[in-house]
Amino acid sequence: MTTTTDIAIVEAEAPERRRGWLDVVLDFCRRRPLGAIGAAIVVLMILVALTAPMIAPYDPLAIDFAAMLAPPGADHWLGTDAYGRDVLSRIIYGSQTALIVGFGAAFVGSTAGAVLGVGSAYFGGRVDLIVQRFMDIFISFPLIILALAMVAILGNTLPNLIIAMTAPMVPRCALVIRSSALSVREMPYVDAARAAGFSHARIILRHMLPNVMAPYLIMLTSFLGQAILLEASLSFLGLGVQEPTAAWGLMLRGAAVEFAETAPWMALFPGLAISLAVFAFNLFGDSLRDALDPKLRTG
Amino acid sequence: MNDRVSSGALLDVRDLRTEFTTGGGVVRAVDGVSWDVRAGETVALVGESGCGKSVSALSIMGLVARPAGRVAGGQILFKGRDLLELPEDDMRRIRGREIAMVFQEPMTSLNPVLTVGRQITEACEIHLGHTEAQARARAIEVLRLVGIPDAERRLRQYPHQFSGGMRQRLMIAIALSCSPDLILADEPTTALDVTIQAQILDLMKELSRSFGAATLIITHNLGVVARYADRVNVMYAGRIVERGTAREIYANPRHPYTLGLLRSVPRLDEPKRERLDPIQGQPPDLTRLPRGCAFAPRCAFAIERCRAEAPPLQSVGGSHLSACWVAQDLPQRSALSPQPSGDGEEIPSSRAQRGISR
Amino acid sequence: MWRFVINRFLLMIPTLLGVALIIFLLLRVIPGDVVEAKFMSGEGSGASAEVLAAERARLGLDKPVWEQFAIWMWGVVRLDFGISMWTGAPIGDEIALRFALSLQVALMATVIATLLALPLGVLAALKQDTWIDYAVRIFSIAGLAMPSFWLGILMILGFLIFFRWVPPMVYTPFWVDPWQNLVQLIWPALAVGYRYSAVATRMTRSSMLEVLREDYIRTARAKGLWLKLILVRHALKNAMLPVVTVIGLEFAFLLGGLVVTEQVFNLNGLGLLFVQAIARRDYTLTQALVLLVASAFIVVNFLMDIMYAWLDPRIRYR
Repeated sequence: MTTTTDIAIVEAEAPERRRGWLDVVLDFCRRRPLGAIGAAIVVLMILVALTAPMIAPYDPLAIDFAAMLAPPGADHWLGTDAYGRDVLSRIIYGSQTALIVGFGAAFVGSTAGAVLGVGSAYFGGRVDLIVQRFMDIFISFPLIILALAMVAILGNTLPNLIIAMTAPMVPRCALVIRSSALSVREMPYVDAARAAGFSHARIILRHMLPNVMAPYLIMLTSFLGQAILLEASLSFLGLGVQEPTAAWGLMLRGAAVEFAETAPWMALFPGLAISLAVFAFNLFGDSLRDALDPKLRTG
Repeated sequence: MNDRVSSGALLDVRDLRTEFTTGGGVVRAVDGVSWDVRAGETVALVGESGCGKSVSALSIMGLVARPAGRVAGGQILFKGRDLLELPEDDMRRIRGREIAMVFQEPMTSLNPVLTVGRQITEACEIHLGHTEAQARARAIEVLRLVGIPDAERRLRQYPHQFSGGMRQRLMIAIALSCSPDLILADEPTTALDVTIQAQILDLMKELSRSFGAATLIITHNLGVVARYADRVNVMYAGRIVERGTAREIYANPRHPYTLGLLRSVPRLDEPKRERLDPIQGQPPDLTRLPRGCAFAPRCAFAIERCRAEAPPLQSVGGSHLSACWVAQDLPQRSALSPQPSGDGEEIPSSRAQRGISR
Repeated sequence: MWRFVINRFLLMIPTLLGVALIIFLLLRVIPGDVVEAKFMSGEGSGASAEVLAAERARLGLDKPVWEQFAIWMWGVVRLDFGISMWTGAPIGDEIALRFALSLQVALMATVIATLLALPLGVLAALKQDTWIDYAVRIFSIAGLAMPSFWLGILMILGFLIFFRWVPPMVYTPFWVDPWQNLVQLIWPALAVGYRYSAVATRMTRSSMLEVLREDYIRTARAKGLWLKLILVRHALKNAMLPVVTVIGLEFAFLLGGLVVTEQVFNLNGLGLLFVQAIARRDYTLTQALVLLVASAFIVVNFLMDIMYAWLDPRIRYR
């Protein structure tokens, strides 16, 4: 090699100025307008979920047989369902379910995946091999069966639903995190830390984890939208959230299809809510990925 | 040195400006640079990474990465035509046919999923209208020329089956396949082992001579320059700071930056020196260039004026130009480091005619 | 190359075995079994303990769990999946027609997705950060956001309201009446295909962008090739590897994951069978279905690896 003849090969690089978080946010908005729009919708959704009792015009559970299948109008902006429940109110309350399940499943799924991925990469050898086999098995397992089985075994509660939904996320996240962690693992400072006799836990927490934060955040945000979608599908099948709780997928179930012709609003608006929410999360997640790690592919 | 009779410039770059828009602002990678290449001659563009030499070559080829980069001004006259004014399709016809380029990274510059035969023949098929058989014959011919034995078999292989040096030969074969008038060689040997470097450079020199092609050789290595170039342009921070024949540059550098470059090059033909003297400091941030001479912050000879006013490129004797206020006051090179009595012809001859396998 | 193929082939076995073991145990952990499901529901709800025990013995459910597993595995090795514990019909007969339907929808959706994704993805990459790119990206992000089953509901709704027409609800096999068959299945295929194409478009775009930045593309441009030739010969082949992977995996996923869309279009495919089988605690049928879907996934994965090796000579010669 010619390193001795090379003369100070250092790319001219602008020194990073210290920036406040506001600058970071503003810069993100300016450079990634689509992502900013997505983030704005997400924030709006969170506000709606938090203030649901204040802004919902009706009790989402209140049955009103006098107003069954009422079309959108002054009384019920988005109409009512087969029990006379206000669709708008149910959508507003449904955002709570969507956010809880979405954030819950995405957080649990990507965190568990990250722990497995980092551990697998750090310990290597046999541990890595076994973890990889397990990930292969779980990835190839049909999701709906996992969800069905989990719900059947654990019971049909919200936490169980969240755990069932993490099943497809954990192996995917572990795979991505593992490959990032593998390159960190090769860094000299990890060897140095080992040589210095630091504990495994300390090395993983202090050295490896900070270096896989970018892929972790990317996976987390991409799971958010997927989790909301998955919850909707499961609820639509009757495997997710149970009546009478307000949940978007549930609103599309049964009567919505039955009365599709006479009361299309029942099918239209909850679906729009799902799509908008997932759309927003994806827009934001995409831009975040571009900003953090343009090379990472998440499909 | 082959000082040919000047028959007008083949390539005449005038006041070229190429800019990149980055997060940190506009980078003037090439900032008003003029130089020329005459037919059949070898000209060197020398400087550190990021000084704008590669960008100059890409500007000529019309391959500056858009949308971040753009040629902001100047003229690139090739055979009298301004390449910057040409429509894209005319420019495409010149690329590969009249001007060919050899890139720095032979490992990544070849397509991994195509056979090398395919990659050599396609230019001939497009530019010269060769049939498949003709192009194949030509490919075998150029492979032999660049010293790759067993050409018929090798054509069917993939790049990963070749070593780094062999791949650079392939790149040269591709460049030569249409007999271009000008070859732009961007750090053609940087990624290679030292022993291979000499082989590749000798090969390029010989081939460009026998093809009558002019060569622009871009390098950070003044050792390469001395051996292979007729004339030299030294670039720093997007500008040319010194120009002259290889002999002038080597024997009598008139810019502190060139001096620094020369002192940091190890030489195989000299008794071992105690240590190399790297240039102090870092190349400047191109988004925030100083008002005066860009090299002044790193320069041991800088005076007050250097920091206030950028020096123009002016003659320090005949065609030897330097952009330095203190050009005439610089020490002679021999005064800086013990040298074997300099007659200028300091070509490391011990490895001069080694290597090329025929 | 052959060593690579055999290696990868052998790696499939532990994975499949793991899937089999997990589904087997999972089913045994779920409360209730097929006998209870049969006799506790509807008319026979008063069956005595003896009747239940006799029925369990007949189905072999009284044997130790490990023995049941061994019997099942021995059958699987001989490609004998047994009979459905609910209907008593051979598993093969239960699955065949429904598999044909799911496979056809999956194939049609794949064709639709590929035809949409490749041109859109390449176009978006070439026109990066122009309005075309933005339009394609919004189109594909929307595709990811819309639940396929909702899209299906909208389709049916649209047909009803605007054309007073619904797609045929009774399945006609392709070999009986191709036209009727296509008219029925094109809609679910479209509903699923949109999401599918969105995934593939995004992958095509990002993979293409990455390849277009490669040094060898610059070399190709420096040779003076036409843009079209550079795209087709130099960029596409390299960019297609990850795209093909995504398409393949998504295809495998569709085979077993169409549950919700099938419900909307009233299709009697594998998805519905899945839900029924598990609700009835039909162990043998559920196990066979899981194994089928998982092997589809694993085999597609295997084929992808082989294709990588075939398309990318660097792997082939390793």
